[in-house]
Amino acid sequence: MQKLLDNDSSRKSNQRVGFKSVMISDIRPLTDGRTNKVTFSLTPEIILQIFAEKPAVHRAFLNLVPKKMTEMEFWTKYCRAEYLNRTKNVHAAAAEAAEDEELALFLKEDDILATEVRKKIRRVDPTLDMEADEGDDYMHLPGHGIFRDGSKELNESQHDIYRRTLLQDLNRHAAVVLEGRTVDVEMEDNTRAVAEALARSKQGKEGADGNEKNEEKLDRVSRSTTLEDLQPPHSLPLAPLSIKDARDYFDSQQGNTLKTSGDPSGKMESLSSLSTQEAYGSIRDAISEMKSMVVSDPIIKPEVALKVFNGLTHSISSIKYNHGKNPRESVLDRLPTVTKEKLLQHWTCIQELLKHFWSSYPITTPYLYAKVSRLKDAMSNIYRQLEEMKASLQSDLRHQVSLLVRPMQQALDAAIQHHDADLQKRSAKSCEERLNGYV
Amino acid sequence: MASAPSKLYSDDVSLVVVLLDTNPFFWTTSTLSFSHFLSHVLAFLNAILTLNQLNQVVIIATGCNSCDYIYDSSKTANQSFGNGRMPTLCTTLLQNLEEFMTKDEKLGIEEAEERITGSLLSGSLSMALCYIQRVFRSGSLHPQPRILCLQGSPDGPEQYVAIMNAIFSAQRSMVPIDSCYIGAQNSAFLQQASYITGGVHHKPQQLDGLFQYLLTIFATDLHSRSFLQLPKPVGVDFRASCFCHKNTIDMGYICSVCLSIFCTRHKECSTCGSTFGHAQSDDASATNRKRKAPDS
Repeated sequence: MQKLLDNDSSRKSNQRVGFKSVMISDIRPLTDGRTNKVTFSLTPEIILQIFAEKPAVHRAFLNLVPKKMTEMEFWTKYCRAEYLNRTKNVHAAAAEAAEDEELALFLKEDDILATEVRKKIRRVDPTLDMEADEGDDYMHLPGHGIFRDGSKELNESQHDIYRRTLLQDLNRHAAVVLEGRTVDVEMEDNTRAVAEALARSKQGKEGADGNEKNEEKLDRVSRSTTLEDLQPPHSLPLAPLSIKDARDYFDSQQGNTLKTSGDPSGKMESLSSLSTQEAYGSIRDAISEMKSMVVSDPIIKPEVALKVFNGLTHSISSIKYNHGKNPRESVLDRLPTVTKEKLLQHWTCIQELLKHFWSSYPITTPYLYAKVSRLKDAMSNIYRQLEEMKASLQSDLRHQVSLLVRPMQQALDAAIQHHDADLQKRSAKSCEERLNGYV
Repeated sequence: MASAPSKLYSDDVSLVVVLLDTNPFFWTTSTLSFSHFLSHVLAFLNAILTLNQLNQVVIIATGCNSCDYIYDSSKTANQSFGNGRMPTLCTTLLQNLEEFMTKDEKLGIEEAEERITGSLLSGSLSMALCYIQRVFRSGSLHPQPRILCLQGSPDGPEQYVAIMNAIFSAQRSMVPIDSCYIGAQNSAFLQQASYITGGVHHKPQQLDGLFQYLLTIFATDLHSRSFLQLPKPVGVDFRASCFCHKNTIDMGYICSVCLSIFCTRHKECSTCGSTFGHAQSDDASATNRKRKAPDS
């Protein structure tokens, strides 16, 4: 039990105590009512808070005590400055500051804080429009402001540097409280030691802040200042072509090469019997032959040149007349007009018959049955006519026509086949029914 | 890649990039000997250089194992007759060609196991396009570039994708690919290359008159072509090579996502990984086939 309690108490002492959230400015000076004497009471706790919240005081303390003045003198001066500040007597404060430069230190704006604030402002998102809500505090409007110590704070431009607004104090206090306690006061009851410890802890913190802030800022600027409608669309809905094996796709497949090169050319097979060396040797021989030989004179025999010209002229003119004039020439145009007409007529006829034929299925009425059989007769008639036409043609045209007729015949075949199969099924069915009926 | 800045052409100056097929396996079987072929081509190149003082000729050798630039008229001082018998064009070209053949042979020995008998047209096409792009990016006034393929070896279907890509980039940069096929069968690749890029394709019938063909058909600059009636092919062989076995096919299956071509039915596209649905029956899948028949 005792152990547990011990543990508990030791844990308690280990827990770090944060700053009091009470503001130092709330610590009222005590007046005794009889004399004009004002008494401030400072504890190490309060001093630490002062140091933390007012880095300039902290710095002045480190510089001045104990070289130039005693600790007592220092704090007296500080309290005097605070008192002047509190009375809101800006003019008196300015006058006293002009006389005493150490006092002025306390009254002036805290320059360390100012630089820190500037740093912080630089860290603010650069795309944020700070001017947009500048007037939201109403401080510039008459009749508005913050009540403090029974008097209204109003913005006055004169002697501005000797004035601190409540908002500044409040913000600073909040920042320090959030930062937390960095020095254990109980350990060091000596103020000097407190000041030094605070200085050390601050140094450590500043080192951590690096240059990368600036880069990050630039990056953010570039990211948010891009105009979206000027940018290329980010995610086009496309699937990347994923070629599984680029080598397989682009490169040769050697095994198949030999196989395929064999089939289009019988020659290649005969030359594979020739060894590589021999082949290259013959080429080299040809080159060296060329080297020794003056370019043959003439390069080409006149008769050959004439032949070439004639051949070219013939091919050009034939292409021009046969192909250039009618680019969409079809096989039909090469047939005699009678055959062409007949073919076209048969084709339309077949189309019509087939349309009627297939639309009659399934056969449900005797009328349809009769119709189908009539259609079938007509189709077989045309079939015969097609055969006759093919036979009557000359042999050179027969092939062309048979190519044209084949799809027609195929369509007819399919229809007739279907008709026969259907007929067979029907007869089988009716036979069965008859059997069933009698037995 | 940013496209080249707006081009200012000088309309009568040509930059001709000649792709020379140096496949020894083809030349040992050809009816036209390599030395004859060279003498015709050299005379033709000289003719091009004399057509306009500013004309430029670049020659790329298309070997079995490698490709290389073997001559660039802008680099070698022209018009100086080396040994008095031949123009420098011939001497430097022959010298470089010989070196190239030696190198190409060595490369072939290193990978002796698998022998490719086709020549690397895709490689030399790409090199030609690279050279032309470099010309586009230097100086403000460009000669009008064109590529001339002097090809004899049969198509290597395994290079289908690479060659088609080169053809399409030539089309994009408005570089016509002329092709003169001197092999036995016709080349579908070259027909398509010339058709797509607006060049001229011709297969000479009289190989001993090659020089005359070259001079008549392929020597004209791009500007003059608008006034001339050049031979047109009757049809173009549009057959493609399948991506799976590199076979030349006239009918096959096409991935609806990436347009890869296959000769057999696959469950999944090997190029883009899309899974194909199941066809109802064999009949149905047969009707889905797209026919790509040669026109000629």
